[in-house]
Amino acid sequence: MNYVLETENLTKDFGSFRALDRVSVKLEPGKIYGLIGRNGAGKTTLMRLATGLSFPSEGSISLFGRGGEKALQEERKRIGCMIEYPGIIGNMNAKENLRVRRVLKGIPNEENEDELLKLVGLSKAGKKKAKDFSLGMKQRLGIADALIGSPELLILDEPVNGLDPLGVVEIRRLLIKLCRENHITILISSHNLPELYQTVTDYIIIHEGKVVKTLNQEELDEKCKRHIRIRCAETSRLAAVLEESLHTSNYKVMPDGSAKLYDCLERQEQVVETLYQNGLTVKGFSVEGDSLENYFISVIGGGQNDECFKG
Amino acid sequence: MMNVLRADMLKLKKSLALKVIFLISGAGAVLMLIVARLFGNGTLGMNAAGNASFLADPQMVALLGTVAAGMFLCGDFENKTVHDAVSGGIGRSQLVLGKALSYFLILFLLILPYFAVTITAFFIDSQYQLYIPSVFLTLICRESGNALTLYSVLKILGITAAVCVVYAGQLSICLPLAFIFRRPVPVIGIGYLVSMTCGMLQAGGNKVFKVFEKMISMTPFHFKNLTRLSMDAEPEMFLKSVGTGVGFTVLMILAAMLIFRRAEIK
Repeated sequence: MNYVLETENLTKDFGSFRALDRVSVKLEPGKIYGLIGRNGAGKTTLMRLATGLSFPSEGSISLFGRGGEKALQEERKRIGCMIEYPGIIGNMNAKENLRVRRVLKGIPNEENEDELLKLVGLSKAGKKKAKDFSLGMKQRLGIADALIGSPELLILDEPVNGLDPLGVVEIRRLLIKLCRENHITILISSHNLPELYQTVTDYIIIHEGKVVKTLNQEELDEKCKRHIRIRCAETSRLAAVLEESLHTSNYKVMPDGSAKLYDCLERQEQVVETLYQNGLTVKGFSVEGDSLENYFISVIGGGQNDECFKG
Repeated sequence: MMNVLRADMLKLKKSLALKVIFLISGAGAVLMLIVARLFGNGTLGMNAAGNASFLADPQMVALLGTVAAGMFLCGDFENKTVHDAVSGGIGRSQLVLGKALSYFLILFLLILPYFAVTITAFFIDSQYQLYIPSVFLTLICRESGNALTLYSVLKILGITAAVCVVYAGQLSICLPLAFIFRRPVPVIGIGYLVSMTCGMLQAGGNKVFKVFEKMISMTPFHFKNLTRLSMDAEPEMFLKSVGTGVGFTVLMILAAMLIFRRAEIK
């Protein structure tokens, strides 16, 4: 399979600091990848390496199945990106800004400019100079810049940063539409995890320069699905009661001795009653559903649910 | 490379800073002519020559040229034009070359008012006083009031072209500086300092200064590269000035390419 972006053991050192440590990722066409990590985890470094703004210390990158410096330079014409903050020319309006980027990339179609401005909701920006734009407008312009020339891979670093709630929804819809209709592969980094959850199809979790987990939406939903959390002193008896009296094996015993029961969510009273009837002392009983945040924290070892989902 | 140049032209067309720089250069050229006339008819004493020297092309181009480098070359790192070009698949060497060409076009615009003033001086029969070694001022002092023939226009055009090449050579030092520092202040400061220092090192008479002068003679900073460009200059003088300017420019472009080839773009 020709991956849109493939990295193998990609490493980036800044002096003695290792920003990326043997990162190997494969981006398939037509998917939206969410790059999640704390500040300084290496998300932007990975994006900068992919777009040629930085050079790897070790490892390799290939774009659309081609590696090597010359080929990468060629293939980067198929990429659109906005990394860190949008680049704007302050004394020009939105359309003029787009024109400069369009001409720079050698894209002939002038009508693209109006289409893109409409697409990102800047068609009414008119003659207003970009230096007077709000952060959200600048962000939209940055996204429009990245979309010039109909790229096949879109790399966006915090694209919804500074957008109002409506803007966030609009950009989310736009990205999903671009992916579905134009089959564009998108790599987004964001700290807005609930938002990311509604946008992406696949996740790459990066921590201290290493990719610690890759999973798709289905896998994440499985990991985060709603359950009854039962805390009980006698874990082995609890397991037996769940299987014999409640006739379910859809549960998981956690290292802290509690159990996550994925069945009987509609029969919580029956569960409590059954546990009581079997002489179990229940210390805790709650309905939980892990959010992407909790899952992310558990994966990077941030404390909560530390061991829940490892492996 | 051409895409970089075209995109830069779009930006420059809209640039208020460029218009201001051009106006300052124009004002400098006109004032240079006026001051030379005031020196010529004795209204101004020669003790004002020091201050007036800032109006002449060597000082004005050195100052405005470095400012232009700081604003336009470094500005592209701030507005991310450089980032967009590289991430959009434009080769780094092509980018440097495109930027160099745009920069030289700006320098041409800075020199244009001095050319215009020189041509204008042909139509004004007046006495002018040379108060600083400047090609255009020399032409004004020697040729004003003379008949403007096709030959003289062509010769002035040739001299202007050669002056442009020499100034481009001098200011090409800002190219590697811009790709190293990416901030206007060091580019303007160091660029102007180099220009001024090279000028001063040629002024001394002792042995040490002679060594410096010998070294500088191989660069476009050598003042003779400019002062020998006159209406009666021999073709080999033109060749030497242009050759030094082109050679130094090529070296500086290569240096900028080398610096930027594997540089991190932040």
